[in-house]
Amino acid sequence: MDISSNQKDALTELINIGVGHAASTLNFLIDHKIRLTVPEIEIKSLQELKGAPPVEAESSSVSMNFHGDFSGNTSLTFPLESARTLVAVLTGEAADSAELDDLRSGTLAEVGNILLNGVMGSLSNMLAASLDYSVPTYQEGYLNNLLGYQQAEAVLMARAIFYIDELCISGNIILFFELESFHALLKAIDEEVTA
Amino acid sequence: MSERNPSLTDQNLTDQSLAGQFPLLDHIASGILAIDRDANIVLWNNNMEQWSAQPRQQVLGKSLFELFPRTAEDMFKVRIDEVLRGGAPIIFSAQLHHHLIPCLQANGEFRAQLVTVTWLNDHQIALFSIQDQSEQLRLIEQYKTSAQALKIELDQRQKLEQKNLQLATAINQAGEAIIITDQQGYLEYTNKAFMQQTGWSEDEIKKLSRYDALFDKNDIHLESQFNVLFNSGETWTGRKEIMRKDGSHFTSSISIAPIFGEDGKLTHHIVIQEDISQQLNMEEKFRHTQKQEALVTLIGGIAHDFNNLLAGLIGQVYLASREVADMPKTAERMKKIQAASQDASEIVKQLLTFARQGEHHAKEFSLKSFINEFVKLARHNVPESIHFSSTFESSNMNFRGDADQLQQSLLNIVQNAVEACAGIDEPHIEVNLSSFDGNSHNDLLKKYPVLRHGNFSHIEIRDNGNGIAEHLLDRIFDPFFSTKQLGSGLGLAMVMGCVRHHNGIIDVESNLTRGSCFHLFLPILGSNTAASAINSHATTRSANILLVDDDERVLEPTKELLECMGHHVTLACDGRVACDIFKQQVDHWDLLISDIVMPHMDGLAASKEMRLLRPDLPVIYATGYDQSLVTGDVRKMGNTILISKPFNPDKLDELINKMLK
Repeated sequence: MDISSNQKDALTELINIGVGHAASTLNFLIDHKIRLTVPEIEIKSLQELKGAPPVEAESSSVSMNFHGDFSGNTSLTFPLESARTLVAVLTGEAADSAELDDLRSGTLAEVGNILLNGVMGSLSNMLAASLDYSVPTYQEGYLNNLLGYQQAEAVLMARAIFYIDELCISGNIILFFELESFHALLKAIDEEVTA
Repeated sequence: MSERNPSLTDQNLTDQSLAGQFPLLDHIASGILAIDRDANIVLWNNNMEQWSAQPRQQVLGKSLFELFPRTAEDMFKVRIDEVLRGGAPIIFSAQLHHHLIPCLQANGEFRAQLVTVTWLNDHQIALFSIQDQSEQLRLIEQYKTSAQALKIELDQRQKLEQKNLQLATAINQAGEAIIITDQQGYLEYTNKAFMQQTGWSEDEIKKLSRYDALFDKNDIHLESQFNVLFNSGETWTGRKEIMRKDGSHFTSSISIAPIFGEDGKLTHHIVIQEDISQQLNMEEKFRHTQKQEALVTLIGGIAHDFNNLLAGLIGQVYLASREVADMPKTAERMKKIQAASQDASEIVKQLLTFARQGEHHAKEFSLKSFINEFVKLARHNVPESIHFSSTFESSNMNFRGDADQLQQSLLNIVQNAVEACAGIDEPHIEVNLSSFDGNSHNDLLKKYPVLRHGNFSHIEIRDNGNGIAEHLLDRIFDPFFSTKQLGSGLGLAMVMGCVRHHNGIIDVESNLTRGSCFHLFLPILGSNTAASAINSHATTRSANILLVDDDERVLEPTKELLECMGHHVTLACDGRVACDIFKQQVDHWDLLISDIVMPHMDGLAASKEMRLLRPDLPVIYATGYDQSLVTGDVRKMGNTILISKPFNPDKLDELINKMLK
């Protein structure tokens, strides 16, 4: 998937704006100081992603579909252990109690929701796109299986790092686009950059 | 952005008509509410009515933010506003917010909620789907409480286990033997000290029966005594002889205490058993030493008085016998009195040796030469029928002491050995001399720790005659203790006194059938100490000595003494005369022995004049005054010694040898 470095920089910046917004929302909710960064993004095909998933261990994933001016799916994935640690830090609950899974999924869904909303809001605002969203869903399993549902041709993958107090937890924001939508996105970026 | 429809409230759409569009919403388990773009409530399903106890008539058309002020807080309102602007759905989780719409439950707590807010573009409403998570939260709280309780219990158990482990380790490693028996006295637990004390291994202990089976079997009342004890639940303390695995015994201080179970029933006994044999030995030794010291004091006092009385008696008898020279019968009686008095004085002499008060002429000599001479002498006292042998170590082992006293002591022991050999087949007596080697005599080191420090010679006199009964061993050194009908009971007492006087140690081992062995440990001097007096005469070379003194009473006897030591002596009556004699043959003189204070020329001036001609001339100054009064000049002179008059002959001999070297 060809993408110019300007386009890549612009996308990285857009996503960083989105996660920055999400971080301020999270800071509202939680007593801990949270900082979120997206140091890099990658563009891949779905096949490439499945061939070399960012994590091979069990993962937790929050995802929602969007459709409108461009369509696709956005997910936030963490290795399960990182997800548990993240919730434990955010809520002060023990990370190892399986009984907390129910509540944990709700919390992770909210955190993912805030992050993905930040990113999608940033993208749609910048591109003045009108999008409809599905309700976020939470899943756990191996990443390849979680990604099996996606019918996408272009995958934008951004590594998101949560800095909470002394802790550093890394997850992935993955945006799946239909090819046409991705091109529309790149075009919109080009126009914005030119403007 | 897509174009939005006008709000539902703007169209005066009633709840009934909206509910009419979503009739199923009243039949699902979630709470459902909807607000229009202005945040006015347009839908309130059955569940919400029940949960909030507010019928829809009361809430419909009212502002969500006003009706439920919590929702107007920033953390909620900002995100709800985004949905109202057509943004992506939002989630409020129960864990982070607990609840969005306050709904009191019967237990007085608010219903925990997972809320999803979605913008329904077709209807221009934001739909709140609220899942009740109170039960999950309750279960989790319950779980947390249980987990906390479990953790506390585990912590307590761990601490208890640690404490038990510490206690078990302490018991196992305690210095005293600790035994736990069951109610009948059968062994259930023994610690490490028990195994060390008794020599049993862990496996062997399991086969041992009752605790009291370890006791000495001679105690016939034991079994019944302990049967009563093990059933009584009472505490018992006392001393018992405990048998080791090898059949030997040791005295043990024992405490047996009952252990009662929670129901108050007697379940076990704990036995604490301390080996006190060493302590008893020490006490016995101490007691024996005290007794010996008391005897020394008593006998010393008596012997001293007797000695004086005998001196008077012998003198008087001597005078009386001269006066009755013409009365043969009386003279004969006087002779007998004299002989008896001499015998008595011999006894007193031995008593004084025992009391360490007799004359003690100490000098240095080689023990090797001494024993060599002793063996020759002793051989005359040993009948030919007894095989008499000796072994020596090659080193000299220089010793300082009274050779005569030591010789008499050793003779006493040999004499006893000869008597012990009476009636024995192939009797033999051996005398051995070696330097004491602690490595091969661990038992003796244990018994006499002082042997670890310093060098000791080891004189051993061994016989294969009739031994000494064990119960008599402690008494054989006591004065007047004898097993012989005609024994004075002073021989070994004198030996003991002599050895102690020489800071030595005496030990005896004896077996009724195998005979006795006396061990004498005498401290030996360092290897660089002057050679012994016994062979010193042989090694001393004859010296030409110029002896100067103005007092004839000193001059003559000293000359005799020096000549007795093998020297050639020339006399001078003052310093002047001495110088004149000296100058006639300057190189002839080996030594100058001079008084200090003399008429005409004093000793210092004379020696200075002589040393002008012979700077290496050795000088011994003899003074009748306190040495401290002598001027510092003398002390500073090289190759010079200052001694006090009257001379100690041994000391003088030693000094002369030293100077001539």
